[in-house]
Amino acid sequence: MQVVAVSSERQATDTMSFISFSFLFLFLFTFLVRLTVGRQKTEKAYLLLLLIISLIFYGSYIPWYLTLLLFTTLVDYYAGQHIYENPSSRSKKLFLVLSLTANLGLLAFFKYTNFFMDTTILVARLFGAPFRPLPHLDLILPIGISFFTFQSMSYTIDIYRGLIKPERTYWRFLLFVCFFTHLISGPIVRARELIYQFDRKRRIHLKVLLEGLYLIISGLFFKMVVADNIGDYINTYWKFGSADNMAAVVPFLLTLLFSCQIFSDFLGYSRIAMGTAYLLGFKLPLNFNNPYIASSFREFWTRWHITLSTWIRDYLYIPLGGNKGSELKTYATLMITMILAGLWHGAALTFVFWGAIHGLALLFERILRKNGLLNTRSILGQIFGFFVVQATILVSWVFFRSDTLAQAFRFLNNLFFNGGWNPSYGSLFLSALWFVLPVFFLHLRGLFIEKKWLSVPGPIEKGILAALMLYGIFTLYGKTNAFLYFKF
Amino acid sequence: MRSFTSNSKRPSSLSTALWAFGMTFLVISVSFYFFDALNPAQCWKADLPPIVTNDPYVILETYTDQAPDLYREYYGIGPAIEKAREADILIVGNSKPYFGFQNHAVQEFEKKTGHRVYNLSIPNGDKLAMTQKLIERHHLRPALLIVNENHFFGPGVSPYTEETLRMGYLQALSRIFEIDSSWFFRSHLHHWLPRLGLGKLFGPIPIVTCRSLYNGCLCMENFEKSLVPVADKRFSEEELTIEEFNNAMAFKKEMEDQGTQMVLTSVPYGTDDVDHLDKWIKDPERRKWIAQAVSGYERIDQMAKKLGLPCITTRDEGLFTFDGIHLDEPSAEKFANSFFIALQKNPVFQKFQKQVSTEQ
Repeated sequence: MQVVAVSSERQATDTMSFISFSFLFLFLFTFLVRLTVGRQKTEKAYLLLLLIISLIFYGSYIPWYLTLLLFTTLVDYYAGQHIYENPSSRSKKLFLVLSLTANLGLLAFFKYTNFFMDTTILVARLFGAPFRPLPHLDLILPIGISFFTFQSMSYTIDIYRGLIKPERTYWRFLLFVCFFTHLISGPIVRARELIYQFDRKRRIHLKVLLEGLYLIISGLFFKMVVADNIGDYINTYWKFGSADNMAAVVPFLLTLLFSCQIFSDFLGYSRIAMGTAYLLGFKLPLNFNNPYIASSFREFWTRWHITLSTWIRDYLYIPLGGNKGSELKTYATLMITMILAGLWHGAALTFVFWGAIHGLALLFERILRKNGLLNTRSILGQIFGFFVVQATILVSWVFFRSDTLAQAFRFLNNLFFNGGWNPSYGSLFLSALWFVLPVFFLHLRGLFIEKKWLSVPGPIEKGILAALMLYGIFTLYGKTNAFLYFKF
Repeated sequence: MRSFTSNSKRPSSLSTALWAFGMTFLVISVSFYFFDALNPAQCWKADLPPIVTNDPYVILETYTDQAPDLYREYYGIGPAIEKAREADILIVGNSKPYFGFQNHAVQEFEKKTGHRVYNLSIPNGDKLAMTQKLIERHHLRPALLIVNENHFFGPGVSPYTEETLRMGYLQALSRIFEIDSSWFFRSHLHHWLPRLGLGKLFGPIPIVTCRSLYNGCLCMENFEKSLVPVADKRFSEEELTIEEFNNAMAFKKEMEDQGTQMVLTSVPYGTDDVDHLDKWIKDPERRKWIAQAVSGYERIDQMAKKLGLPCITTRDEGLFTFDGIHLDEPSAEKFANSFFIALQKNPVFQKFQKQVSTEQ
């Protein structure tokens, strides 16, 4: 029986994008207002303006999305207050459960209802039960729901753990969750990282301005030039990778290109988010730190989507038991955590496989490390580790990008069991590979800086790079595609 | 040298960064400006086809996944739908008539006969459903409806149409604003900083076309010409499905009830013969795709008989397509001229003229 991946989401990607003139005007207006503030009495008005702009940003295309955002934040705001004020630990727990149920319930309903229905039927049919597929519920996944529910939830959990105090007013808490720079696709910010910045005085410095602009230009470059140009190739040719008897080089190059596309896409978004927040007087946490130079899986997850991996570590892996208890329990916890991390990206079996590959890799690495068989300190060990880790990550991207499991397995079959080179596709991919170069040089420079073979970029280097990237944005932009992480 | 992100308070590091930025940008801009002068075919300056510069039009680009003309028509934004409402003759169908009814030929016919024409065809393989929605939503009552039969009465809508129906007025307005602003910005920018194609390195230079908001016709002067000839083998014996027949009959009745006379036609197009395509299209995947896209169509004669509708077809020789499927600009002009001549000779046109003069 053919096993097919189940993808049941209808994804809404219609919202105001960072790469739009509507956003540009909204941002410029906010920035101009920000230039006029700086004294204590105008700060509150500025924050209120940010809240209004954020609500417009989120609700501009589909206003009913706002009701979900308001619902989760209201529940979490009141739950947070009660958890903090209530002396009884039982009541605290009760309000925490209420908050988790509201957030996870919302997420489960919109994102996973159809997936669970399909998967249950699929499993039942695998065991011979004569079930027919049920009709899907006509649900549209509200954009950014995976991000804002996680942010909102972390607030109540942190209060429960005694790490933070509840926010005084609802609107300030709402601003923390829906601040437009991180609302749609992260970085996943925690209350203790952002709310304290609301009370800070914001003064304009040219240094800050230039740094913010540099982040925005580099973000736009990686999104509009690298990710969008590669995206065109991927959207058109990904299916070739799983075609019958396709030479291995084609799926290999496609996987390489996709790994650069997804990195550039998300890096681009994160940098634009950080840059705009910086210009508006806020600092968001780093989300990427040259992930493709990692020489161990553990290291990869400290470099890739850092705010998600630390969230999952703190709010899922550790509460499930973490490293405590028997080794066997730790392995089970690791696998469950990574599979859930996969599912967070999308309600499909392909994402489950993606998470499982990473879970197995981390588990295997842990076993080797425990038994002293892994030495990532020596140069040779690092080089060996680098190739093994990056090859595994490339394979895992096949599941991440493929529409079905069957397509992913056909793709991998071509990759591993069909040698040779198909000349008719050669020139096609050679031209696409030019867009891999910025990703390659970014990582190479990052590696050299980490090894202290290069110093941190100075003003001349940054000035030259910004000019080259801006010229690239103006003259080499690709067909605009929605940010990939909008889907999640 | 210290970074401007460091704690340095020296203003010189900031001015150094700005100086490096400015000089690099200037040098690279000037270099590529000269590159453009030496290799004009490898850069794009956002030039429009010359015909439309004084007409109201909507810009369509090959590298967007948007259908701004459909957003305008469905949500009644701008003059397009008003012009469709005023038209005596509406042309409906998929991308074949969308590209096939050439602007000059339509304008010539309008001048000669005094009748207004609007091309309401929807590309991307769209079918009856959206056309019906447009007619009902905007109370379109043309005296004559020219239907291009190319599986037109089949079920379903294209993904673009589905998206258009889903988005709502506000979003349509916002998208049109984005597309127009983007075009305005880039058309000015690229006169100074041409968009680089660099030949095969970064793919083909995008094609820009415009669609008139007066008659819904395209300007295709800058499209490729004579790529693949239209094949001789055109009329197949494929049967209508029951669903297509029922849809067609229901639509015919609907049109009759509102006083609209229907005419069937078929715009010539490419071929599903892969051996024939082999001579013209190098990419084997594209050959297959074209063959799939055009296979099994053309059964207009039997369809017209079954439905009891007049049918106007042309038999021009030497027609070419610009992409293997759709007529290129000279062929579209040739076809449209032949079609309008044939239409004027057909008895249905006399009836139509009578009806229009009575209404007036």
